[in-house]
Amino acid sequence: MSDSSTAITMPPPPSPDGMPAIRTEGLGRSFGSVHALNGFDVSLPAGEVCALVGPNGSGKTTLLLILAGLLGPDRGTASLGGINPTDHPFEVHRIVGWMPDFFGTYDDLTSFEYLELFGAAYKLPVNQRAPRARELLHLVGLEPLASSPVHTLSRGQKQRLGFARSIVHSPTILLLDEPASGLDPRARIELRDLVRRQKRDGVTVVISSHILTELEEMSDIVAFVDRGTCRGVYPLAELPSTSTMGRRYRLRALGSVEPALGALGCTWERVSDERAVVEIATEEAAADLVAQLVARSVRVVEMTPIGGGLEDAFLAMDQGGRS
Amino acid sequence: MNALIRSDLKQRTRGKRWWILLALWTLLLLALLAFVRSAAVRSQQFVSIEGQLRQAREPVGPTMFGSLMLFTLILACLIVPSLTSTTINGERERGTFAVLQATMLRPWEIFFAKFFSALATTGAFLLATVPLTLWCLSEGGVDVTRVVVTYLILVLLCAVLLAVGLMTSTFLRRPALSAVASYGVVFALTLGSLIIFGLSLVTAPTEEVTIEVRRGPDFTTEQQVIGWRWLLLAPNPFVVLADAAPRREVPRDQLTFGAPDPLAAIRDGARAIRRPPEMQFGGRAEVVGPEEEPPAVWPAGMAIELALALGAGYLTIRRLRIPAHRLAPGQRVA
Repeated sequence: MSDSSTAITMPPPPSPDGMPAIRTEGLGRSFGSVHALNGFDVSLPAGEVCALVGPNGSGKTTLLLILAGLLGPDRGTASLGGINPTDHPFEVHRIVGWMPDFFGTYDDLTSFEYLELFGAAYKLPVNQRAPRARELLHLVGLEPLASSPVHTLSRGQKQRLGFARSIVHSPTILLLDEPASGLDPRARIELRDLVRRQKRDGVTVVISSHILTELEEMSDIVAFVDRGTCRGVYPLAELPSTSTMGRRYRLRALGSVEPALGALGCTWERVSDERAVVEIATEEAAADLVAQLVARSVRVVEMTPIGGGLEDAFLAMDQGGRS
Repeated sequence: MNALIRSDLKQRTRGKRWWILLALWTLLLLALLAFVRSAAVRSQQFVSIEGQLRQAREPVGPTMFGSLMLFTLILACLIVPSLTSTTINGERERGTFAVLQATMLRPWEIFFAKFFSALATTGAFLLATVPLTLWCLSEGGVDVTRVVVTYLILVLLCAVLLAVGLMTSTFLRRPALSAVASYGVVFALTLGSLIIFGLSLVTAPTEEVTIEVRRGPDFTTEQQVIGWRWLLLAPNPFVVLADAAPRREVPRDQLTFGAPDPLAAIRDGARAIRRPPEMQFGGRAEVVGPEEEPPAVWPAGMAIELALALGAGYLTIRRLRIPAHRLAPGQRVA
């Protein structure tokens, strides 16, 4: 994308019915002298998984709290599925599931009782609560632990239970605040699968994190958040960094890489005889480099970009903001 | 809301801690009651029966029941505030409250669910005293109406403490602080009301009144005008309980030789302060005593208690409304 440097205000791709699932206008919220949100404008399409990316303290949690109808904004408006969460929090709760970054569970209840309780709290009909709880335990793979007290669950299992709780009432919009923090790789993969499954069911998912690489695996679009404002919404495939910015690649070969790299005249750094880090401007250049190395009989076994596209974009934004 | 109450009770009663507390409570009251009974039997006055001096054998039921209710109230003042005084901020601290607020539950449903589950727990403690009350009934001198009304008053007084506890745990961020605040309210209502009333008498004006004497001339003396100050003592839970409990009907001129009924003693003392100044003087037997019993103190006291509970409930529900606009310093929504 050639105009990606000016894409900060690029509108999101239109959703099937043309209406954004989530829209905020000029959202502002301060806590004392801290301005958590500072005129936050964003519009997120329905049915997509949207990553909310930004450093700690950039306002992601505050935004999600306002969207979940729990926190009132000082200024501006928000709407989810056309409903204003500040004026009609309970109508919003009917269609929105929310999982906070930090949450506790009622440790003396069993997993099944816990989900049953929230079925009641979301006012599911009495005869649907137990079946729904069982269905969810199956979905998140906690069936064997249905009658174990919650305090015996591991962190990853608790996270999955929390996820199940947030979708007890089959919401059409799901807000996940740092769901992957502290999870091991396996648990993250399970979480990714759960999120993907929600998307298949037509749910709009907003997922925040500062752990960028794993968001890349599960999101369709990315909204960058910095110091209380939205710095742009991009489809993941068109991230500005991947096309315009130089990236670093890890190169490894059987045998020495130095002579070939020296002859090709690119920017590189020696790691060991067989390994180097190469700086390449574009993906095309990267592909060319591999071809040239192979042509010079370098037996390349690895050529990997260092850091994800999101990570680079994030760092670029962060640096841009600070300079 | 019912589901929330059930799950709350499930959590309260799971684990040994709760049952140990309940057993301790019952055993302690049982021990106290047994002690009161033996003291009441021994302390009966010696009277002349058919020319011989013998110890009276009046029923000890009223003494036992009155003591049981007072002990129960004392222990309730210690235990009941702890049932709610860290409920809301405790849940906030454990991160379980925001997800509850994110459901379809309205603030009043959350409040009443927490309130009724704590009230049911209180009810279990009171239920544990029922066998002890049956023992009092079997000793005679106590009628069932008195028992039922006294228990009802106990429940209401506990409900007030529960509502206050929920309020402090909602408005104060730290559980330790809200617990202290709840017990502060208990202290203010019990000892505090007594102290404030006592101190207020220092400022009470005096009035010259004429005291009628049965044999001999009337005389005038300075008496304190207590006036409205009785209201300071009225909300005292012990006064409310003792004054509201129906009295055992004993003919006014009949002398009793049994052990005193502590509830009746508190009741008489509390009502005495509502007598007009000219009726306050009670030093000599020849003084013409008050013919009629002064008006009851408990309706005003109970009204103050209930106003406290309703106020606490209203403010708490209002504070739990979402979305939250104002947060306590340092409070996080989630």
